[in-house]
Formats: sequence, C-alpha cells, structure tokens
Amino acid sequence: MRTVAAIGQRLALSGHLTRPMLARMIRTQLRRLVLDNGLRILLAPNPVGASVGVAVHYGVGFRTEPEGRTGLAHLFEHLVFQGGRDAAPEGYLPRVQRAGGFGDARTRQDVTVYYAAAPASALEMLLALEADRMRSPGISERTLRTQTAVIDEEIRLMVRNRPYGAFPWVLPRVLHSRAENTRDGYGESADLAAFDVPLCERFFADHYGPGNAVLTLTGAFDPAAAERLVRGHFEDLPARPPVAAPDTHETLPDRERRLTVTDPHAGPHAVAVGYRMPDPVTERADYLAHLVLAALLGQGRQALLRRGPAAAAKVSSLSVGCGLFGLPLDTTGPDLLTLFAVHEGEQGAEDVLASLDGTLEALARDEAEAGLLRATTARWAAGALRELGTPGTRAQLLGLREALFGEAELTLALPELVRTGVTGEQVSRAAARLASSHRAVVRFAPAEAAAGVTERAAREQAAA
Amino acid sequence: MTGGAVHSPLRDAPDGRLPLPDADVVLGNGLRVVVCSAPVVPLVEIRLTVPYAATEPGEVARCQLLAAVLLRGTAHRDADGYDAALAAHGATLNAAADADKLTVAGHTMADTLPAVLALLAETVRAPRLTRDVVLPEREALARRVRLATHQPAALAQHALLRRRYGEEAAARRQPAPEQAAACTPDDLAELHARHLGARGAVLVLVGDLRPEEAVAAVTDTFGAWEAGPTAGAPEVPSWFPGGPLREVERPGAVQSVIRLAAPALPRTDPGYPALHLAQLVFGGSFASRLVTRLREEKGYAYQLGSGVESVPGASTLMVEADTAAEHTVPALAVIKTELERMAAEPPSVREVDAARSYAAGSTATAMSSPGALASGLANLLHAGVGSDWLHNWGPLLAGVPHDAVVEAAHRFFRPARITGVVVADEAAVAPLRLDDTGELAF
Repeated sequence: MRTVAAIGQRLALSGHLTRPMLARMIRTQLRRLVLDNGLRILLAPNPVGASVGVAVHYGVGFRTEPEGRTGLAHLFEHLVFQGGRDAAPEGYLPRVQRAGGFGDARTRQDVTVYYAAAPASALEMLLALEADRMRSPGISERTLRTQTAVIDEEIRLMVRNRPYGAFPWVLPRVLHSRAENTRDGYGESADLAAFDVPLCERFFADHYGPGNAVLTLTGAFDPAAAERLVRGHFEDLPARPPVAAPDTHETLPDRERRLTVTDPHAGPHAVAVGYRMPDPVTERADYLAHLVLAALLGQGRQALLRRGPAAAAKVSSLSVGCGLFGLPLDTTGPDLLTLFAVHEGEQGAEDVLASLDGTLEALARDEAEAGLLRATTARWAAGALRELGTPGTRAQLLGLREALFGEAELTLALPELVRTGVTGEQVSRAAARLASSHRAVVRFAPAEAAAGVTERAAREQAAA
Repeated sequence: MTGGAVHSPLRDAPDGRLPLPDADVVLGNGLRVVVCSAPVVPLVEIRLTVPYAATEPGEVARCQLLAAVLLRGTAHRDADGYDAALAAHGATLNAAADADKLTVAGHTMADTLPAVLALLAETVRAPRLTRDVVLPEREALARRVRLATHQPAALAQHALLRRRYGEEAAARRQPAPEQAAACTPDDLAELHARHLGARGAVLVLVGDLRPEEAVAAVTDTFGAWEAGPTAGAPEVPSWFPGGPLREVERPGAVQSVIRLAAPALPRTDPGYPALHLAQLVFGGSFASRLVTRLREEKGYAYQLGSGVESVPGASTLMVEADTAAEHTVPALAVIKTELERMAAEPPSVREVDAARSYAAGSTATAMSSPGALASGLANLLHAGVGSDWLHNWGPLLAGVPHDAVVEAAHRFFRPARITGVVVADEAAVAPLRLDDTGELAF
C-alpha cells in the first residue's frame, strides 16, 4: 500500500471570490489512496445533503481500444453495465434502483465511466456492485447478442434517424488523420458483428484491472468509514498489468478540409466547424483561453456570433463548445473546438463562416471589451459550478480529471481559473491561433435540396 | 396559505425524507414564494411559473413569442445591456411558454440573488415590446417551430396531441409558424397585461441562501408587481378514448417512434400513488416488465419506458419506445402483451415493494441536486399539490396497500384504453394498416 495523503485545495485566490464560494471550496477536501493492486481511490466528501455519488473510470475508451475492434469499448460498457456475477440474476441497475439510486455509464475517447448516485445508506452496496463487476463481469453469449442489438437501436436513435445525426462524429473524421482519432465511438458494423465472448474476456483482462481504474466517492460520507469499506471490497482484487494505450499522436492538419454530407432527415441546411484545440497538459493556459474564446463566440444572448454587425442572419440555432461532447478537458488526445449552426439556404453557411472569420480577426486585433470578458467568464463559471451540485456528476467529473491528468483538483478549480485566470490578451492570441489554423468545415445538405446536384452520398473535396 | 411561515432551515431528515421547504409565503399581490436552503454549491436556482389559460386560436404562439422576448431587455435596458447585466452576476435565465403557463428558469451566483431578482422583476413587469425586439424574435420563433417538425420525437408529440384531443384542441396547444409570424408588438402588450400578473404566480428559489433574506429580497423586488386580472382556471384537458394508433409517415425513417397514451389520475387524486407504483412495475424503471422484455431480452429498443405526465387537473399515462423499422410490429406486440399482463398477472408483492423503495429513494436522490429540486417543486406546485408533497412522498407510498396497485394495474393498462401514434416509414407498419385511413391496429 502506498501513501494516504490529504490534499487541500490550492487555488489561485484572486480577491474576486465570493463569500460562499470561498468557504465551500476550502471545505472540500480531496483524499487519495492507492491500493496494492493499483486501484486509485479519490475521496471527496461533501457534508451537505443525504446522497452519495460513486464513479469508476477505466482507462480505456473508443480512441484507445484495439485496432480492428472498433466499437468494442462501447459494447463492453453495455456488457459490464449489466453487473458482475454476484449481481445476477437481478442485475446492476435494478439493484441500485431498488435502493433508491440511479446509475449510468459512458464511453469516451480515453475512459469508460460507470457512475451512480444513491441515498448515503446505500454506499456499501454501490461499492460492492462495482467491486463485483471489476472482479467478474457477467459476460455471456446471450447478453452479447442482445446488447449488440440494443446498440444498433442506439445508433439509429443518436445518429441515423435524426437530423444532423453525423454531428459531432464527422468533425474528428474530417479533421484528424490517424484511424484512432477519427473513430465515431459506436464502431464499424463489420467489427461489431465479429465480437465474441473470448474477445470480450480478453478485453476485460487487458483493460479492466484495478491498476487501470480510478474509484471516486462524493457526497455525504465519513472518509475514515468509507476508506474501510473501500479496502474491504477492493483490496483482495488481484493486480493485473494494464496494456499500454497506443500512441495516437496526431499532427496538426496541414490544410482546411471540407466535406458535404447529404442528410436524409435535415430540414434547413446546417454547417459544422471543428478546430484543433491546444494540448490540455503542455498548453494548459492556451487551452483555457480557447474555452473563454468559445464562450465569447457562442454563449448566451450577448455572444459575439449572435449580435452586432458580424452576426450571420437567419440562423435558427448556433452553438460553440470545447470538447467533442461539449465538455472541456475530457481527453488527453487531440481535442476539438466545435461550432454548429442551422441556417436558411445553402448560401447561409458562407454567412456563418464569414461571421466567424470576421469575429476571430477582430478579436485577434483588439482585445475583447473588459466588461464583456468578465460577464462571459462569470456566466461560464456559474454553469460549471452548477454541474458540481449533483453528486453523480461531481463524482464523474472529479474522477475524469484524476484518470486523465492525475488532477482531480482541476474540476474544482476550473470555474475560478476561467473566471479570473484568463486575460483579454490570451483570448486575442487564441483567436489569432484559430484564425491562422486549418479547420474542418462540414456542410449538411437536406436530401431534397442535394438530390439534383449530387449523388445521394457524401462527397469530399479539398478546399481551394 | 396566505401568510405562511418562514421556518428555521431544516436539515435533511434522518429517515431519508426530503425536508419541507424553509418558506412558503404569499405576498400581498398574490405571488407565492417557496424557498429551500440547499447550500451544495454557491448558487441559487430560480423558477418562476405564471399560470394562465391560452384558449384563443393562435394564443399559444403569442405566449411563446412573449417568452422569447421576455429576456430581451426591458423598458429601461436594451437586449445586450440586459443580458450583460445578468451574465455579470453569473446568471443564466431562460423563458418558455405553453398553453398553461409561462416559466422562467435559471440560476445565479448566490451573493447576487437580489440583483438578479430585480432584473427578472423588471422584465416581468415591463418587457421591451418594441418592434426592433419583437420582429426578429418572431422570425426566429417561426424558424424554431419549423425546425422542430423535422425531429421525429417532436413530430410524434404533435401527432399524439391531435390523436388525444382532436385537431381543434390540439391546434390551441401547439404553435404554428404562420401564427408566430403574424404577432405584433400590440398583441404582446395586450397579452402581457392579461396574463403576466402576480396573482397565482409561483417563484421557487433553491440553493445557497438564508430563507428569510431570500423572502425579503423577493418582497423588495416583486412586491410592486401588479396583481393583474384573476387568472382564468387552467383548461383541464378532456378525457380521451382508446382506439387505433395513428400512423405518421416519415419516409426513409430507419427507426419508428412509438408514443402511446391513456388517461390517468391527476396528481391530486388519492389514487395517484397506487397508479404511480403500477406504472413503475410496468415500464417506469430499469427492472420493469417492459424494459426487461423489450430491451434486455429482445434488444428492440435503447430508449423506452413509461411515465405519468401531469398538468393541472389531469394526468396521462405515457408509453414510449423507439425501435428499428423492422422491429416495429413485434415491438408493438410486446408492448400490448405487457399491457394485458398487468391484469392477467398483476404486480406481485415483490414487484410493488421494489417499485416503492425505488420511487421514494430515487426521488430523494434526484432532488439532492438543487436544480432538480427547484424544477421538481415548480412542476408539482403547478400540477396542484402542496409544497409538502416531496416531504410526504415516502410515507404516502408506504401507505399504499398492495391491493390498490393491483386494482390500478387492472384499471389503467388495458390495451382498449390506449391510443397513440407511430412515426415510421410506411413499410415498417404496413402489416398493421387497417385501411387507407392512416390508422393502425393495436
């Protein structure tokens, strides 16, 4: 067993912190421990309320799953979600729900997370269920078949049957080059059809060992008691050497890449734009400046792309965000700043791009007005704090940054870092960087409008 | 309820029950203020509900336009200035409207609550109803209404309204793009005077606050809000009969959207808890019969389930599933079999007990998030129950005899009581087509 360290918050206190915010942040203590089998544990008690949150992050996702096995990380998430051998026959979620809780799971680029929230009295049960599936997930031919079918329904719901369903997956596909970085998370049909139980068991052995996992506890619990429970349930899990994640280094795009997608379900035309984000570790300050830039461009009524002379007309919906899923700092790989706009008429895309380019140039030339910058970051920070008000989400976000960066504190500090830690000058530099970088531009053409012009298939063309 | 009380902040009850609100008072102008201390993060959640009955043709479109304009400035501030002021306090507010109510939902940093309440009161009392604000917003609303018609779930929802209440009543509850495009600033001024009064409105505040200070801040900022005309009683949706499903053709759909409905009991009815438990056994939880059969055994759906949708004076039992085109017919057969089985094999003691502990515990768990608690309270108060509903939910469920759940299972789940819609490619439902009326056998 290694150290047990209590780590308080080291925040850049800037004088702008409000009374309750300061008090609350300081009260939150993070405690880490590492078991002999390599399991990392993060205890983040929050004495308010009567619920607990539990998250387990495994260090494998759709970007790091084995080559030729696309979709396996996500399929495996569905299988593991059923629960371990001891949870049978009822299964994981029925047990959690009967105890008054809820649970869910997600597969992301680098991690797969299982999270739950429940009344504080159910903490031990949640831990037992997680240890159970970390020890022996109930994988069978039958669940494999059924969950493959459920995933087919999921793909229809999320991608194939909705307007603009190719967003956001199409952006990394167009912008990035390496196969690992262009995957859509759901996987290729041919790969999905070829999965069998031995393959899943191998995946479990390689990626689901305690040494490749982070267990996070939040909410109303006593840290000493929780530590005893965690040790009781997880300490006897055998250590397994994790398989190293593949090197997925992605070079910067060398030209603008454009694609037009014919969308059978779209009404109006739409356009999506993707830019490469700075590295979240080696270029952290720049990454945060891009976060603020995205908020200036697209957050709220006063967003620069929604008002003033540069705003594009006849846009029905517009969003700008950092991270493929709109959540910043959720991958160590190549990350994206994305824009998505639904607009009237085919020409509208050029108006949106002109508005974007004009705004970036103006911001690169002249710093954003100080009042606007302050208001934008204040609103962003409040939104990020709000997410921490839900125990399950809190556990998920703390564990995410611990698993990716060894930096759970980042989740707690992020609102304040964005609110007071980014200057107008840094945002100007971010705008200049975007303006001079090569991006992906994807147009969504409604099938009726496109039918006369082109084949009913996607066509790709290099930008001029 | 007039007068009411400000309690000293109650901490979470040891038995897992949610605490009562710390304050539930009615101001002199008729605005009800419900406040809960929940200092989880340094924010306060804000939910304002103004009930009315939009019964004239096109009125719901005008209400939605009023909601769209509401946060676009006031008589004293333009749209940019207004939003900048909100943002500077870390606040986000969004307004929405339907045929029953206008709502404003959002949050603010805790220490700027009084300033944000003042901004909200300013626009509720005197929104900026000038042409330069209204004209672009009405175009935007018309575009949004049109955009929604391409979303299969929205298509299904509109079609289900028509199926339940007929064309005319459904049209009154659903805005049309041309109605939105026809609204004038004068229409909105008239609507504002008629609907946006304090009498009957409810303001819910949940978060890092001191209850008496919060009530004082609301009194300062909203105390001078005109009471307005007495709100008309909400239009209670009429009872609707079961019958064949309506097909909504969506050429090329690779997944069919199934939405079924049957009249249920209003939230305020003593029989509601038993119905709720029966519904959880049927399709309202992951362990439920429908989810087990349709998803975990057959793999026919990723997203599915049942629920009860409540409005003032009425509730509807809803059953939903999205299933691949080629699974549509067998999926509907499974749903029908499970509906029949609610009477043939009524919920067992074990099933009901599991539903009971899920219903009580999961509500408390979900409501530990201040945002969820604020929304939950606002919705429940609008549906007509007391602010003690959540506090009493566990005991209320505990008191439901098993027999009552069995009776609800017999009474509410018979396929003959069900109607609904299927949004699908025509080939997916061809075997069910009754004739060329667009009706499908169920």
